[in-house]
Amino acid sequence: MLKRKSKEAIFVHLMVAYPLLQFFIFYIGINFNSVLLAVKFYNIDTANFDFLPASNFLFNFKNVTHDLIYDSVVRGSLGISAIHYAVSLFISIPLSIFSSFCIYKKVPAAGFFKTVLFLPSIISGIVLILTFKYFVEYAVPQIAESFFDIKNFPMLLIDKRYALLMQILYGLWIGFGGNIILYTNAMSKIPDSLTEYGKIEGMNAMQELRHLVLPFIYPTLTTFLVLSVVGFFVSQGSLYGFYSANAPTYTYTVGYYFFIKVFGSKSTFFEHPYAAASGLIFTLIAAPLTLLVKYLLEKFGPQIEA
Amino acid sequence: MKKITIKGFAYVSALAFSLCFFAFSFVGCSKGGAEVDETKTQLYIGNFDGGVGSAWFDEVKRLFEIKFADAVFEDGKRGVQVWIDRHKDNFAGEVLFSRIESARQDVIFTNEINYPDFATKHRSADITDIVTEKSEKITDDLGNEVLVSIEDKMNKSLADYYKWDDGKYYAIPFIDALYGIVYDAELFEDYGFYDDGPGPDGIRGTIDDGLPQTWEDFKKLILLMVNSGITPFTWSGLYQYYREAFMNSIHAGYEGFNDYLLNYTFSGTDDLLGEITPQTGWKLQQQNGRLAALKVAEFIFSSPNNYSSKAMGSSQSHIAAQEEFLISATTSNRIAMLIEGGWWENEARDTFNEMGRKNSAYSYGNRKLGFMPFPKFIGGSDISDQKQTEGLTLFSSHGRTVVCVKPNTTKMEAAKEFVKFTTSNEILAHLTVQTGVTRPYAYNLTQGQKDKMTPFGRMMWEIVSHEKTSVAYNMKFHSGMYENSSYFENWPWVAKIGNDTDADVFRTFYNNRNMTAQTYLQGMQAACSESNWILG
Repeated sequence: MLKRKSKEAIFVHLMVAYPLLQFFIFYIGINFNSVLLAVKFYNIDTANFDFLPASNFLFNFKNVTHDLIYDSVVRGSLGISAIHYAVSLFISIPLSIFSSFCIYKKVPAAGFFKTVLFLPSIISGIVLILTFKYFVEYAVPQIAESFFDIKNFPMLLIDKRYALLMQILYGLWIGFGGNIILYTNAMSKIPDSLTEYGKIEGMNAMQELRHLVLPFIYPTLTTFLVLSVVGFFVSQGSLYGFYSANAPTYTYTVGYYFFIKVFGSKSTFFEHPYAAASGLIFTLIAAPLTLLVKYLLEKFGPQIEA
Repeated sequence: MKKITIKGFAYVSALAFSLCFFAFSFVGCSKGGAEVDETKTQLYIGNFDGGVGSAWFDEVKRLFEIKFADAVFEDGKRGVQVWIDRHKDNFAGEVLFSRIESARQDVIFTNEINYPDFATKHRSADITDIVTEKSEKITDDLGNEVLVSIEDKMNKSLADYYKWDDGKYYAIPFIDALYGIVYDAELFEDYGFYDDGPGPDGIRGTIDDGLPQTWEDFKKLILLMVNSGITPFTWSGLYQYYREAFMNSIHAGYEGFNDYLLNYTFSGTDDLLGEITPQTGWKLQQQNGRLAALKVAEFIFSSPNNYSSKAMGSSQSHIAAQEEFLISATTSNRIAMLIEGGWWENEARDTFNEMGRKNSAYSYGNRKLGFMPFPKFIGGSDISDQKQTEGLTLFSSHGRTVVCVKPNTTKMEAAKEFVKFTTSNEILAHLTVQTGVTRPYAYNLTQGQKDKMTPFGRMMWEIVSHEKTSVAYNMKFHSGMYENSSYFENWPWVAKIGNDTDADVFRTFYNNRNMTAQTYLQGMQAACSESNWILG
């Protein structure tokens, strides 16, 4: 008969075994395979991925680097990714913090706003995209014609002047809810004694936000800022949901450009080594950058004194 | 007590979850109520459930089971029971390549695949024996009974493609996807849009008589439509390949079969450009057929009244475009033409059925709809006359849809018989009658069969089967197109204009109202020039 502790140990190990196996296969194994794939090519004669000859070992890396510098579509996608990042940093995060603060301060209808703003996070992404698409491409032109007599209203999701703006607006809309829940949760942990102290000192709301709330939620904010650096090369926005593999090139993010190389109607095996090499290059750029950002944020950010 | 309760709850939850998992697995294996007859060989057929659908298989299954009721394919079993599995992603591309050897299906009717991958790795069975076996009796043009093989009947360019380097066949082509213009024939009659000319094929007495014969005629017709309050065109804004295929169809129609095919073989002589080799393939960007197609795009986008305001929308899927076109007949804003592929009518059955519920005149088969081959470029002032003035060159984009057999099936004989059966004249005709879609083989329809077809299907058949019609397929005949797939994915229409690179002609013209065909053509020649041509 096994001892109780042994039984518990077996139980725990069995429960953890399956997710651990998944981790080894779908993270370690796949990433290891991706590293190998970056130095291979798809051999049409054997339908296999074979190693590149030693004389041309860095073929895929050279191609990716060349395209990042010289290909107008790839360069453009870097710019668009940067725009999405800037919008996130300077608009989305501040707006989320401010909205969360309003909810934390229990402004009238705070509960209602909290629910409504969080709804996009719990509704299916495809439903949201379809809702947005139909509203923008059917309802808006109809409203423009009926109320403002504007005929031939542009297709905002395709028109070069507006397509990127629509993607940004959509990203702001759906990104709001998840951020608010995390920020309000962090704010709710602020000790009442500190808020009381702030009242006694005569702090107004903005001073409370700046001197009390921001330092307290800084660790949460740091997490968001660090993750956004990580996501720069990976995030494709919601482009695939909107356009499948047919997004206009003037909306491409870096993440989308490389995603459709390996998934969807335009992908082929020939592109897999190229995409694998790009993943490694982006890791080499993003990893130290992420660590640096984390270090700087932790070193120079506000500290909460006991 | 509390610890035992928590652990007990965990055990019970895990057990319940596992039981649910297995229960759902068995549900997933249900055969939809039909009984499995263990005395018969079980043959599983996978069908890419796209525009062609699966309904046509019902009759095929019935006839096959009758024909082989006494066949012995496995020891201890007599006859065959056929099961049709319908799916999309499982029967296409890289997914199929990965899973075919472990799939339960013995025969698969696929969407587009990379045939070289399958042939090289033997991921589909060698079916050379049934493809080359002269086993079907037909009556030739002289009235003699002859035996023919699948290979004999197959479109010649596709037969060359599917016969692999080792001389074997590992798959055969499935369907044609002929792109062009679907038009509302009733609207044409109501408004008197037909003329008394011979139509695009230039031959009197054929089914396209009365349609605009030349591009100049067509432009006048489009303007007449607009002046009559009719919207000439709609199309799918979501899927670029419909618009690209339309452009390809104009290009092919202008160049003719031989010159158009150079764009995929890079081997031969162009009437105007001279010898084309893999090293000089970039010259094909100078083909006048490209300019012709760009002239069409330029004209369409010269006025927003020429196309539906929804056409360029990203929410305008192919189904939405079909609906818009069909339903417009009941509104004050009628749409005359839809840019689509030959299977569209079968795909739009739900819309037909819905409309038919209110008025049977709009139900499937009752609407008078037609297929318009693109008119000829003759007698225009802004582009040279095309060489082919009689007959048609049509463009098909689905040469890479195939029928293949699982390489390790234990029912190889039954599987091959099924492939052979579905390529017999009887079943080829059945598919065309049922769906309006043609297959790239030589076969006949009786007058009785044609009478059962929809007006659109009948017109499509008459045009495709005409002796002076050729069909060009966008097959990657040159291996360099596979090896450099990223380059050639967009190469037919990619253009570098200023700082922008795009391969979507319609979108470029939509975004740049001042864009001209010449400017776009120059952009194409900049994107694919001698200096950046990839085939060395």
